[in-house]
Amino acid sequence: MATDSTDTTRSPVLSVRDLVVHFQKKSSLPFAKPTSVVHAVCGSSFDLFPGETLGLVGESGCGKTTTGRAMLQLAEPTSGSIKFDGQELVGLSRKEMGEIRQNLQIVFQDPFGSLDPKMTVGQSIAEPLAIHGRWTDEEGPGLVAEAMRHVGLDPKFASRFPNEFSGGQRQRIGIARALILNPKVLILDEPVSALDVSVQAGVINLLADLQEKFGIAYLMIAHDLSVVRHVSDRVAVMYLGRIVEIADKVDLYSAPQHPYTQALLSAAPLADPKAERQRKRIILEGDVPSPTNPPSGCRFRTRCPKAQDICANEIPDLIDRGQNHAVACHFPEAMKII
Amino acid sequence: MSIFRKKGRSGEKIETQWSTAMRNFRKDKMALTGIAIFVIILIVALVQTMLNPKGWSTLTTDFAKPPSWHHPFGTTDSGLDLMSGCLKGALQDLIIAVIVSTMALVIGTAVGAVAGYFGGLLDSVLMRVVDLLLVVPLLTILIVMSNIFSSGGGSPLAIALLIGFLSWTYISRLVRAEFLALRERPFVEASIALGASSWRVITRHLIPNAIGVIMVNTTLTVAGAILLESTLSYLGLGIVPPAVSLGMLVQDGQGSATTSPWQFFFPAGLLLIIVLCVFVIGDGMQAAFDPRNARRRK
Ligand SMILES: Nc1ncnc2c1ncn2[C@@H]1O[C@H](COP(=O)(O)OP(=O)(O)OP(=O)(O)O)[C@@H](O)[C@H]1O
Ligand code: SF4
Ligand SMILES: [Mg+2]
Repeated sequence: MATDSTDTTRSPVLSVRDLVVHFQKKSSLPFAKPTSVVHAVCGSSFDLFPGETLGLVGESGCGKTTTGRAMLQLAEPTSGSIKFDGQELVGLSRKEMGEIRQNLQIVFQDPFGSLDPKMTVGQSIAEPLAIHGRWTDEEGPGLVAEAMRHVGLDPKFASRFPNEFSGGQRQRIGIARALILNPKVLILDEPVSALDVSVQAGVINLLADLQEKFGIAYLMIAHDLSVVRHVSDRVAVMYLGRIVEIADKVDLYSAPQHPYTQALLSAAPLADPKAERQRKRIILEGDVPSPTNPPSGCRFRTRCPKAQDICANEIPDLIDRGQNHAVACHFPEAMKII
Repeated sequence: MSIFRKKGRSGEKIETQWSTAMRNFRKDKMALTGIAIFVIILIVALVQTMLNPKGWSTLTTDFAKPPSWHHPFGTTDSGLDLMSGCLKGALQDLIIAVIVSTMALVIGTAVGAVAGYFGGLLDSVLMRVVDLLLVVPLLTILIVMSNIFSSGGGSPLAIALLIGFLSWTYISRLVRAEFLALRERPFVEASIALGASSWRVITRHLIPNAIGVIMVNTTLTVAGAILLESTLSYLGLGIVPPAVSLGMLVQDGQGSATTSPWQFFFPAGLLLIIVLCVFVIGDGMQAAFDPRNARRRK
């Protein structure tokens, strides 16, 4: 399958091919067959290069979180391959995966739920060190204090409990916890969507600073294109478990080729009121179909204004259309939206 | 580039939750008082039973005498020294409290934790065993078992072990339900993402978060076990005279609560103190893990 992997100048730190994650919905009755299968992720491929930010965007329920969880083997891939620094992760034992986890970490969507309420902030941030046998009583506290400073928290709060902190501060604690192992890749699952708008920018800027300082690669998940616009180098758009378009940020925003990307962009609010009034809008009809019973062929066909017969019969491959701009559509066509 | 300097600047001391909880508990005056009273009763009872082993079986002609210098707790209708009886009986109840709480905590929590955390076949098997123990009426099992034990003289330790063995099921069910809910919480997934082992997730995250449920129900189970023992004695199934328990004395003293109140109030008071100690100790253990208390204590 063709993807943006044609970029041969660099080698990716994280390389995902044809990732499929299905969830069996178990029947509550004993001995009954599983009634339905949720096709959460269905054949996603992408690369993440060292030090870059890849935005992963899509509507609620399209499989973004599942993709992120699969990277860390928190959701078991049904098939496909996930390579970290060339090493295959699918099928690794728990112990072998433990080594990888020091380089591959995740920050969760929910800053309130992802910290243990019975642990002090210091204990939470120190946990990764303890898990990987890197905690020593001499150096550990210093490392925790330093991680806290890096995310803009006063180390003297180490003995406080999470309930004394705001959402933004908790997300910083979560970032410090992920950072303390010195990872190469950080998966950020909608790191600011649960936060007040007023503190979102602070956290986004912090992430950008940390990336600049330490060269960490980010897989930044978001549910709309506006959040990732400022921080991403490249953006992947996901619809119902599949990546439909992936391109450099400038290309994707200025010349989107997939009808779904175009619709998403046309719905994003613009800062300039004049441009806002003049630009064309693509209104999508209907709802996202259920992932238990996705449409045949192109999954977007039930809502696509350009759908033809072939769209129902053939799954469009994600094909590179030049300049690392890959699109999964039978009728791609660059269109200026904003 | 490394995020951290080799030698980090010194930060605040960080200890595990269990050490924090231990430290909190040691500052908890109520809980410490509870333990102190518990231990004092235990020592006094042990000493008294050793110094005067026949105290409770020596009949005197002082029938139903009120407390006096010679009989500090008075005597029973049949002329037995009530203080000897109360202390000997307290020993029985303390043994029950210790054994039942240990078994409920260890077996109940372990079975519930394993079933709730790992789920699947292990869960099904463990819970069917628990169901079996819950479905068969406790009394029936006790009647059968204690017949076997009674023939051996109704040893207090054997009775305590028997009650303990049958009391952990309730807690294991509650712990399992609590773990089922807790393991879906994002902080558990966060810990697994960091590479934590199941042992670590259970001991560092799940148990501290389930400690309220565990402690409240352990104390209730102990109180229930003490009551159960007196019911058994009443039915003649538990310990048999000359062995004695506070429950037994309370049952005997009930009838004369108005005519010779000491026969009721001394054993009942002692029983109440023991149960209160259990509650206070349990409460302290629960509070030791509670962040809100940590603040207050500072
Ligand atoms: N553990 C699970 N068991 C069964 N179904 C699941 C599970 N996790 C996710 N799903 C389903 O898989 C689909 C994709 O979920 P996912 O959480 O990955 O979406 P998302 O893009 O992250 O959405 P959101 O923007 O709401 O976070 C959804 O339909 C969801 O209901
Ligand atoms: S493949 Fe067909 S249905 Fe799918 S996006 Fe392209 S035109 Fe629309
Ligand atoms: Mg999500």
